[in-house]
Amino acid sequence: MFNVTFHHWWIDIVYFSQVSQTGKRIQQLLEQITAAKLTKAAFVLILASVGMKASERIVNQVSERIPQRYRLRVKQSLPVWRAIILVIASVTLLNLFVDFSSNSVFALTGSAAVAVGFAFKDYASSVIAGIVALFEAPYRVGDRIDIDGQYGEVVDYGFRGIRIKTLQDEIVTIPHNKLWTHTVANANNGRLEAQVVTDFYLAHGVDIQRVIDILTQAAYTSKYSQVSLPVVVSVEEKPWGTAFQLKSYVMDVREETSYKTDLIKRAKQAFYQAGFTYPGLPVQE
Amino acid sequence: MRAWLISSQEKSEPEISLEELPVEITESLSRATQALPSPANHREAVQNALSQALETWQKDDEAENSLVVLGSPAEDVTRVLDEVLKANQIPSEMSVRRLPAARVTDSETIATKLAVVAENASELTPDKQELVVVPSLSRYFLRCIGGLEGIVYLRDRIAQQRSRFWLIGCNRWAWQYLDYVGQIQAYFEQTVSIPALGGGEIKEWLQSLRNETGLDFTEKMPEAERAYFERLAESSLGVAEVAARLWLRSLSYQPDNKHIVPEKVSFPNFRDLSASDRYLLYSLLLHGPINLPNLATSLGETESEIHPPLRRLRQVGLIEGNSSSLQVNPLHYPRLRSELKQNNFLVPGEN
Repeated sequence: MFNVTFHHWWIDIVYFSQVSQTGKRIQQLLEQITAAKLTKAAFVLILASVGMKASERIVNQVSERIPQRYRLRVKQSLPVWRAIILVIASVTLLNLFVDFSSNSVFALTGSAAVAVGFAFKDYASSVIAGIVALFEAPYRVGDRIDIDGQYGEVVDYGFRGIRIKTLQDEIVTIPHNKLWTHTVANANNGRLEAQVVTDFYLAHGVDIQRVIDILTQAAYTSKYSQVSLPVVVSVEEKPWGTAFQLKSYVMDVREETSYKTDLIKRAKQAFYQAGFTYPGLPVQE
Repeated sequence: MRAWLISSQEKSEPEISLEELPVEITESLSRATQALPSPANHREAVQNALSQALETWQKDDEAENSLVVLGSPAEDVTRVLDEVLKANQIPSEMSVRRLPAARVTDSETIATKLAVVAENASELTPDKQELVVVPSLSRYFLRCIGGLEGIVYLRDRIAQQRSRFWLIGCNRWAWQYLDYVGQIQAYFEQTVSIPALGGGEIKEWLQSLRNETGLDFTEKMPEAERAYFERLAESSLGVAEVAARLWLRSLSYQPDNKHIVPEKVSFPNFRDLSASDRYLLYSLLLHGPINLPNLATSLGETESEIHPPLRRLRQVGLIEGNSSSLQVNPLHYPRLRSELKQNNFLVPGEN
């Protein structure tokens, strides 16, 4: 009985002492927030925001003016500039309001971690994935990627996600945390050239060697082709006809659509001149 | 540092009042540069390589029966070949047959047309006494489906007819392209490059022109003159045609004593190029002088589509000629070469 009573008494003392200490800390923190500090903080936030916008504009303008060979390298530096600005702004803000003694750090991180963990779980996951992606580089600004069914050029690398410009000129925002659960297909992986796959379908009776010659020549004679990279034609038999796949490289990934159009246009003109016929529609099951 | 030294040397020369070269003098000098024979070391390089190749071929049945002469797209390789042949240094027992220098235009019948030209000659002589000259290989293909048939025809014909020797001219850009698309170097292993000119060689080459025109040129101090021609060689990448144009551009006129003074070597302003401009200019450098319909075919576009960029580029002087023969202005070649290389186009290592 005595032991039990003593135990409750001891816990009560510890509890009240902790509450009063936390209260004091909060009070101390609030006392530290002055009008001057708030003004400085606002100034830092505005400066960081302007810096982010300016870095984006400068990087984009410079990358479009310099030789294409360096375009992607300059574009890919955007996330790094942003990260630098964010880190500088965050450190400045924390220095303004937080006393970095071990006690304060423990007190802050303990409560902040719980709050952030529950309220911004997905956001935090995206931010962490974004940092991981900076090092692993599954995609960079300027790359042509396919992620979660969306295909296009990465035009912006943000804190939370990326923005890609699709072939239909739509801007799609994709959070970085898709990296944890989805596969990312990267067509050019930081290079200016990218492989382009173009499908052709012809009737069973066509001269296959002649078709392969035409397709190979179409790729080698396109003004958009990077002819120093291989051109491959593969053939597959289907119940309704013969499918040909032309794999070749475009000199600048931005010209992908024009390149494909050029290949199809010239190849089909040659097919027409050769008198090749096309298959009927596949039978619906 | 070197540029500063040169410019300080130039500055140290006494100041004189200079004007732009009068139009009639510019035109007369321009005509004279076009009429100049190719530089002596160009002819010597080709002549030596040809003599050696012919000698080996006549002695050895397994030896190469062709020699490819490679030059810059801003250089007239055909002219060098013609001058070498005119110099009468080919063995007297050999007959020389020259295929037409004009472009074989119709891509569908390139091979047939070439066959007619190549086979119409005298019967094949088994004793190796015929030299066939292909003035410019870049005029026997067009970058389109079927446009490489002429090259395939020549390639096969040359491999089969070992009793003929083939002297082939080609620009390096076309050669590199043909090698990627048809591994042409595997068939024609024997090549010789037209060498780049140094400062002294350019000076010597232009000296004859100064003597012939009878115009008065102000002599620079020896060191300044050496520096001037070195810079001319460096800026022109050692290409004769470019050097001649840059030299002409650098000349000023001294009205007091009617003397012509070589001044600073400089390129004209170079406007920003769009992607379509670059594709068009690359095509012109690949094919050499080409007419409008063929250029459109090479770009996979219609004539009306290429008209606007073509017109723009002609207005700023990047392209010269008319619709029956368009070509890149050699004056812009060095900077254009660098621009295309920076933009991921295939550009050979040499000039």
